[in-house]
Amino acid sequence: MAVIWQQFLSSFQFDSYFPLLAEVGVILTLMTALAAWNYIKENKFWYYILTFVYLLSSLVVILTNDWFFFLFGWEMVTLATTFMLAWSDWKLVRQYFVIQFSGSSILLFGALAANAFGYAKIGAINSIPLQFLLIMGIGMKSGLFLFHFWLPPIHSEAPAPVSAILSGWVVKLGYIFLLKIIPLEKGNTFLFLLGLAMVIYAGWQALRSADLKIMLAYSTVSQLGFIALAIGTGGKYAFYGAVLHIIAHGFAKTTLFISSGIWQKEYGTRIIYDFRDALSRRPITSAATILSFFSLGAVVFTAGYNSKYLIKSAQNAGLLSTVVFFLLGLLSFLYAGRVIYWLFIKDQDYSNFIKDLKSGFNHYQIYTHDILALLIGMVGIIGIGFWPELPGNILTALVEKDFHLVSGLRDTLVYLVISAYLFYNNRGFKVEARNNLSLENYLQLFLNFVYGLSRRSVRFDTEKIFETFFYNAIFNASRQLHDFIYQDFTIQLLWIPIFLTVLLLWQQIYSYF
Amino acid sequence: MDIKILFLILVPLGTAFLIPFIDLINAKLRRFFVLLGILLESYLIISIIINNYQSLKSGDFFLQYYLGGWQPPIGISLAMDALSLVFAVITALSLFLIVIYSIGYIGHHEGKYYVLYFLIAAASMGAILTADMFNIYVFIEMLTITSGALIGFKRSQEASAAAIKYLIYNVLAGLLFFLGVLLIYFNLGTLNMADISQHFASLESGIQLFITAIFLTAILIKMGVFPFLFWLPKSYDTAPSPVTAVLSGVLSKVYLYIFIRIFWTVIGFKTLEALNLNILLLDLALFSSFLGHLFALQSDNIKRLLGYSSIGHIGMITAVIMLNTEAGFYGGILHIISHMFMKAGLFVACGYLLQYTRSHAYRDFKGVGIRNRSVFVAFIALLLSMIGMPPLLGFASKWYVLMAFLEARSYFGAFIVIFGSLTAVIYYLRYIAKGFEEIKLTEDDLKEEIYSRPLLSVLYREKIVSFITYAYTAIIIGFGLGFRFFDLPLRMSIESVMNVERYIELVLGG
Repeated sequence: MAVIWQQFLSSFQFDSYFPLLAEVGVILTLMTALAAWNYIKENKFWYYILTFVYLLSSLVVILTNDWFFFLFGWEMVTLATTFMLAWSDWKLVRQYFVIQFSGSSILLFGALAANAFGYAKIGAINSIPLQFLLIMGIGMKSGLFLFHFWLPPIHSEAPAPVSAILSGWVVKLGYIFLLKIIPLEKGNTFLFLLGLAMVIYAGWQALRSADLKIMLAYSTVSQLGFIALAIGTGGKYAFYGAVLHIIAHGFAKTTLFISSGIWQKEYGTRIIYDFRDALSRRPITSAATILSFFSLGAVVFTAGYNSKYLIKSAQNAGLLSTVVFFLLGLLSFLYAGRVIYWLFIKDQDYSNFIKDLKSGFNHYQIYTHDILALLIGMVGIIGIGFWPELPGNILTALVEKDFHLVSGLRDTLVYLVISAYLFYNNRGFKVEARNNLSLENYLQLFLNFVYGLSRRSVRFDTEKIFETFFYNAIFNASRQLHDFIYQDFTIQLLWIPIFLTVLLLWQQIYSYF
Repeated sequence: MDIKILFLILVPLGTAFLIPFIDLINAKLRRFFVLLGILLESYLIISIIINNYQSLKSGDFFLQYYLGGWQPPIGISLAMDALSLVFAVITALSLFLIVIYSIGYIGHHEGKYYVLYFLIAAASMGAILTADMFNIYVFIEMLTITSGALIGFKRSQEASAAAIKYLIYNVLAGLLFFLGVLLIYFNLGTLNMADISQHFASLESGIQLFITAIFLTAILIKMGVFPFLFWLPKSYDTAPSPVTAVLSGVLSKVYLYIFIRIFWTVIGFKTLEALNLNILLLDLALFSSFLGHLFALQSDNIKRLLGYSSIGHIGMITAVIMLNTEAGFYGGILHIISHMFMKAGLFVACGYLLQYTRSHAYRDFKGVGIRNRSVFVAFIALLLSMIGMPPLLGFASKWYVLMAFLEARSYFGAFIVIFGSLTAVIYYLRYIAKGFEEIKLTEDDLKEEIYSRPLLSVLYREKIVSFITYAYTAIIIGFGLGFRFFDLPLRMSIESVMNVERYIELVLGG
């Protein structure tokens, strides 16, 4: 026992950026714990136990360099976050667990393969196939392109503090792992391309969402794309950019999901067109929301600007990369700006603003815990915006780095003009709210498509769809195999002489191959 | 010479024969007597460990007892090396827990039940400890007969059919085993394992092949690997829960022990390699595992499903052992231990959960989790261990098995491990979801349920039954965090499997 304990303790590595990331993880978990104090009503004790387990195991995942403890912690994170979803719906628990477990099974395979090929500790891996296997492994948990299909439904349906944990930090664990295994000099082109696809596709989806939480979930995928892209680029500043973006997006998204929970309680809806007088009803929540969206849209003097600038500057200089990154920045500015536009500008009446503010009219009580959590998030965003080098001596190279704030200001103004023009001419990209986004609906769409090819369209009962179609298909297939092999008892007994004969003649059979 | 290892067999045997006499005095005394027997057995095991702790640590643990004072190779001897010790300890622990469970669970014909149960205990201890071929055959037959009787213990039509099927298969296997023993005796003139092992290579290759094939067939039938997996789910389903726990938790592991003993110590892995049978066996076992997990998907009966999943796990263990590497044995024996506790715990929990349902079928599983919430949570923990989630023991064993496959570059094996746990998620989640479904009982349903309830005596003790379930869960969680506790025993047993010369020298020369 003592041996494994020593092994466990000595596997922690406190060099490079990982202690910093661990600290940020603790702060973010603290924020969600504060926000959950009034949001979670029943079984509060178990919720905090799970949060604690999650916190410890995520620290293990970030800090350890031993494969076993890494996967142990990884699975514990899966387990803890899975059960946290139970405060919303058991159906989500089931879906999330199946998806995460299949993802971590691939990761387990990849990790042990790396171990068997001589990488005894977690470190830079030079073999491209192994890198590919491990990227696939983290794909499910971290929502890489094509593996992200589960992320918007589940992150939007989870309780707000749990969404904040999932979107703010759990998905980042995979990228923190990639920071360890992708060699700094080379990067990985495949990851770069995946990241690019994620930024564009999910950004477009975020622009087309009317539901606040679904929009946030898609923007998570889009911002994760920037991290993947940065790690895929390789190089010192790209990695710094990735680290900074993990931290910046962590703060922004945690704040946003916490405030989305508050908005939902305040208005009883998540559709962004229905929000009225938000600024006068809850000024601090509004400030936090606006600031976090600024950070997502990379406005100067916020955390998001610094990290995106670093990622941008690490690319090969040239017209193409300038244009592409300008457009990518525009896309995230558009989807962030659109929500601000609908929440605080469009159809709002600010003529009696001061009076309304003083009367303090709101439906959902303002709790100190929530305010504290939001303030921490705001401090984080502004702090990293002004001091990207952060405490400690890890990112000290950023002190000398010139962030070109003037050009950033210029870009922001250009974005502002373009988006203002687009919003006024396209009615703020108003789209219909999608009816409930869930994995069953995806399956239903797929099935309708398949049935539509052959016969009439069939309506499935979405509640029972897994039970009726998914399971039945599997069960019928395996039932047929079962019936094929389970013949009559005499034939079952006939296997004995057959097997004996095969064994006795095995030399001859073997020599044919 | 250590008489304690003889008493490891004699104590349960004596208990079995004394139970009818105790019944004549007072039937209530029986329970205490049974408990006394199993406690004595545990005391013997513990005292063996404590007395030989120094030699265990230094790695030269070996105990031997000559029956009747006759030295091998002439007489029968009992030998206990590190591998036997590990198996004896876990078998005794399992038997101990299941006896206590049975005291709570079995409410009718208790006398017969305990006689058969202790005969199983004696036979499995004997099969683990003996160093004589014919003796092993005797103990295997004893296991077959007693477990066959226990499978038919409910006396329903289904149970009798399953018992008959089980007996036909296993008696045939016993016959083949006996044939193998005879062939060995006629060709080598000895029955002592160490002596056979010394001279086996001197046989003609045709005879070698024939003996190997016969033993292989016999033991694969006993273990339930692919072409012979048909008897297993049915008998697991119809037997009472503690019996199923014994079948899956103890018997299949004893047969795995015999498999290791015969094909590493007696016949030698080199013979298998020379006959190219190791590749066939590896793939066969993996295919069997694959089939077991696939069949589990279609099962509409929870106990049968667990039986199919047992096929999957036993196939996987056989395959990982067939790799014949140290890592393979490490993972294999660790998985034997963890599977022993997980499966026995699951069957024990099933016995509690299914007590008031009409049948073991999927549709009757509805609402089970709501009625017995805490036991169902333990059940879920055990299921999570089956699919390999930390911090449970299943994760550690799955890790080492997978590592062994990947180190040997056996990608099919690694695929099967991953595939097994992924399909397990599908088929277990279905039952968990069903367990939490709300039920609305009509009056007729209630009546039917009450009248068709299995015969439970008034002495049925619910507390004991649920306590054993929690005990299994606690073992799984505790050892899951402290799985390194098994490190020393595992290394010792690998040493004794791999080092055949030392075993021969100790048995013959000691």
